Order: sequence, then C-alpha cells, then structure tokens
Amino acid sequence: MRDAGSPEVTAATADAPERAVGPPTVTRRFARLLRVLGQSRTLVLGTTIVAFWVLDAMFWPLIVPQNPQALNPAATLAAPSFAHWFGTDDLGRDVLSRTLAGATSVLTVAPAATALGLLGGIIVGLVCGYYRGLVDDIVMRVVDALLAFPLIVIAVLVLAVLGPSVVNVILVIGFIFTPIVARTVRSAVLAEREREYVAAARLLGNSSLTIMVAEILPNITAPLTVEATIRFGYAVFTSATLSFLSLGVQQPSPDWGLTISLGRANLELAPWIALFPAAALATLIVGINLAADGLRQVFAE
Amino acid sequence: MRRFALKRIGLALVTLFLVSVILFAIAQILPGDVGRAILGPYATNRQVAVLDHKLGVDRPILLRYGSWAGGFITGRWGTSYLMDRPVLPLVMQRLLNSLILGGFALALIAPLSIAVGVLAALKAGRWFDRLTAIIGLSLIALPEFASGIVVLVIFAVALRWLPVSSHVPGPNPLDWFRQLLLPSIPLMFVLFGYISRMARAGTVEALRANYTRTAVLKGLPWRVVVWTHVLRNSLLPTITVIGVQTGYLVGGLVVTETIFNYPGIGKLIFDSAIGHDLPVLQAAVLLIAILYMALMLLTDIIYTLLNPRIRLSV
Repeated sequence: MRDAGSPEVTAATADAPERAVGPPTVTRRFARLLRVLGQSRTLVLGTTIVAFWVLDAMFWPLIVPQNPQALNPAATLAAPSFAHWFGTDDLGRDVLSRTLAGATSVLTVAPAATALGLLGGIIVGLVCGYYRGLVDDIVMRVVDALLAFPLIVIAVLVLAVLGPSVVNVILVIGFIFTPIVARTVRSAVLAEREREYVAAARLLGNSSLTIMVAEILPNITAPLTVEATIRFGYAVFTSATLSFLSLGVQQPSPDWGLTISLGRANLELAPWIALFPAAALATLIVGINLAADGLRQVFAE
Repeated sequence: MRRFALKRIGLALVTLFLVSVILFAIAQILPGDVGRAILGPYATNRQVAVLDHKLGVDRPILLRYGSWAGGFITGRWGTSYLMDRPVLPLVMQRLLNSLILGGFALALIAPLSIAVGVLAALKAGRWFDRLTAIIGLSLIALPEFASGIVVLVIFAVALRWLPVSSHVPGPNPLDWFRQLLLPSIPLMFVLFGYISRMARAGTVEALRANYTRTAVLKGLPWRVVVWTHVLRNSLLPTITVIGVQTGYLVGGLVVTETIFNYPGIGKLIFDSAIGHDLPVLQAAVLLIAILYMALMLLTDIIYTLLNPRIRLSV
C-alpha cells in the first residue's frame, strides 16, 4: 500500500471571524474561498493542469486534428511530422488525436471510482467513529486485513475473478478505497464527536443519523476534501495501471494505459506511440498531486 | 514491553486470519469450475468431475479452507495448475528474485533520499526545499509503467546501454547493475519521494523540539547538535516508512516486472491471476501479506524499543 499515513488535517474552523462583517451569503463565502485558495501557487498550477485535461476529455472531438480511430495503411509507424505532430501508430492512426481522446476513459473511471470509495468510506467511517464499540473494533480489523494486500495485487485478483471491464475497474477501485477513506473519516469523527455541538444536538433530541449527517459531516469537510483529491490521484494511477495490464478498457479505445501497453511492441521502431500517452498521463497525475498538496497546505493554515 | 509485543502479535494474528479468509473467498469464486477451466470447453462432464475430485475442489468449502490453510502452514502448498510444478519452491524462487530487485532499488535510493530529506529540512522554505518537494511529489505520483517506458526508451532503445528485458543477475557485480538498474528506476522514483518526504518531516519536527533548543542554548556547535540530537531522533520515523514501503514495493513490482519481463513474485502473481492458477496465486499473495504484516509488526516493535517515551508509556 502506497499511502500509509492519512493527511494530518483537522477540521478548519476559520469561518468564525467572518460573522462580524455580515451575514455570510453564499457568493461572499465562495469569493472568500476562492481568494484563500488562489494564494497557493501549487494549487493554482495543479488545478490548471487538471482543468486542461478535464476540458480535453469533454471536448476532444472539437480539437482533434483527425479521427483518432481512422486507419491509414499508407502511413504506419510514421515519425512525428507536420502532418502528424506526434507521429502515427502501427495502424497509421494519428497519435496526437489518440492522446487527446485518451483522456476521456481515465477521467470517467477515476472520478466514478473516487465517488464510490468516498461514499462507502464516509458511511463506514461515520458509523464506526460515531458508535465506537464492538462494531468499530471488528470493522477496523477487517480494514487492517484489506490494507495488508498491496492495492494493485488485490485489484488484479478481483479483476481476474470478475473479468476485465470498465465497470469492474470502477467497482474494484471504489471497493479498495472504501477502507482507506473510512480510516480518515473515522479519525476525523473521533475528534468531532466529543465537541459541545454534538452533545447539544443530542440533548435537543436529534437522532443519531441526523447528528452524523447534518452536524458532524459538515465539520469534517476539510480533511474529506484533501482525502478526496489524494484518492482521485490514486484512482487515476490505479485505473491507468489496470488498463496497462489489459484488465480495464479494451481495444480500440485510445486509453493511455492501454496504448502504452500496446505501444511496447513497437518501442524500438516507434517510441512516440507509447511516449506521448505516458507524458500526458504523467502531467495529469502530477497536476492532481500538486492540487492535493496545495489544498492540504491551505487547510493546514 | 513484553505485554505490548504480545498484544501486537495477537492482533496481527487476528488480522492474518482475516487476510487468509478474504483471500480464500476471492480465490474460490475465481474459476467457477476449476476442472472446466483447466480442461477447456471440449472436455466431457465426466472428465471434469474426475479432475475436480482429484484436485479436491468438489469438497465442502469449510473443509477446503481448512486443508488449504493447514497445508500452507505445514509447507504443503500443492502443485501449480499451469506449470505442473510444486508451488513452494516456485514461489520462494520468485520471491528471492524480487527481493534482489527490491533490495537493490532500496539500497541505492534510501541513503540518497534520507540525505536529501534531511538537507531539505535544514534549509526549510528555501529553493532547495521547494525544488525537492516538487520533484518528490511528482516522482511519487508517476505510475511505474509510465516512468518505466520512458527510461526504457532512453537507456535501452535510444542509447542501447542496458538490456530491454532483465534476468536475475549472475555473481558479477557489474552484471547486477546491468540487469537490475533499469527495472529498479521506476521503483526508486516512488521510494525517493516517500523516504525523502518522511526524512524531511522527521527532521523538521526534531529541529523544533525542546531538546534541540536546549542543545543550542547550552552552546554546542551546530554540527554536533544536528548529528547527535536532531538526526538521531528524526531518522526513527524514516526507518518506519522504509518498512511500510516494502508493502508498496510488491504492488510496484507487479507492474515493473511485467514491463521488464523480470521473473519475480509480482509477475508470478499477475500471470497466475490471468491464468487462474489458484494454488500459486493463493500462496504467493498470502505470503506477501504475511511478509508485509510481519514487517509492520517488526518496525512497530523496533520503533517502540528505540523510543523511550513510547516504551515507558506502554
């Protein structure tokens, strides 16, 4: 497992001085949030890179120079040139177009898997952290057991069972992320449940469910946001690795991991087939991690 | 201290039991019908039934778990479906190969990462610190196959310095570098990021500590303060991280060994998962999980032994 430590961030309680200025309207709070976030250069840089790829994933049909699936038997394995900036692959397909189009699959799988893992982790973490007791002990043992397997190993195992497909990759990554997110949420809930507002809510006669969802959850958004960004980075990492291992998206998808895997056959003749998707993937992942690191710093301050 | 160790070992055994149950559960639904998976679609139902009976997969599930777990403990790991070889020597040989590769990467990169991390902490906030933080962050994030492909293109395809596909090295130390350097670079990238980050965090904390201030105020030279007070305390968490990272190493090895065609346990796990080779898969993954947990336990205990504050409070 790559990430042993959970982010050491406590819930930000920085809204307090704002009340003196006036009622916190939604727009004012949003503007203030933007101003604070904009101060971190790492965050701005990371977000810009990620935004580029997200826009590309949505609108690539408008910007690609050629159809990424169009075969061209006359120009196979062509080196980068004016006609094909990034060269062509073994079937004569334009590598630039395929690299631009390849962002879509990874940016569909990773957010979906992250959302799934967050949902599961929030539920398990809230319940365990709030109720403690025997259930908590048992669940945390199981979480420990799951974390003893390296992430990729358990994903390979499960995908060998379920068969390679996009939906299965989302399910597997979401499932693996659940215990990891649950740990972070649980430790944040443990710190919150002793606060006065929780006791007050309980005295008011609120149900446990209301307290968990309406009182505690909004107060742990800071560690949750950081955790979500980090998870997203790992989701991209893992889903790309799984499609590299041919366990995810299948041909003829221009998916980066898959393209790199297939491009290995022509590495000596046409290294550009694998190199450009690898560079694209690297920028996306580095962008996400810069954003995550910036967020963590902002919340820590 | 003994109570602490016993408690940790007890907890680890419970976790280990759960690990084996999870692994067994996943592996059992793997082939659907083992005999059918091996013999293929043209075998008769009778042939499949005979093979199932021979392999013992037609017995009740609890019995199968019992005989599998019992067999694992007593060293009877069965025979590989695919390679028709005994599993125990096969897995052990591959594990040894992986340890050679992982150990090589760790030995090369750990001293450098620690040095960089400590230096970054001593120059906290300056350009060296910022630069190494950004580099470390980027290296952690790079998938092994992406960085692996890039180094492969540069050093094996363009410059032709190193072989495209690696074997286990012979006794010649030059051969070690020739065979292992390329596949270990992607691993070193990730390890560098983690270890240097931890070394930096540990050193920053030690620099802020009261004992450091006391040492400075009583007039010790800065060099002495750093070597005897700061480093001794800051390297402790770093050692723990190196222990924890071996768990990551195995995951990274699955990818790296596949790219470079290196016969280690990561490639074995991947191949046996794809080929539905249950005995090999179960044994290899359980062995990895056990090693990981044993290492975590060991680092925990060493950490406690070395740190008097924790030792006394237990």
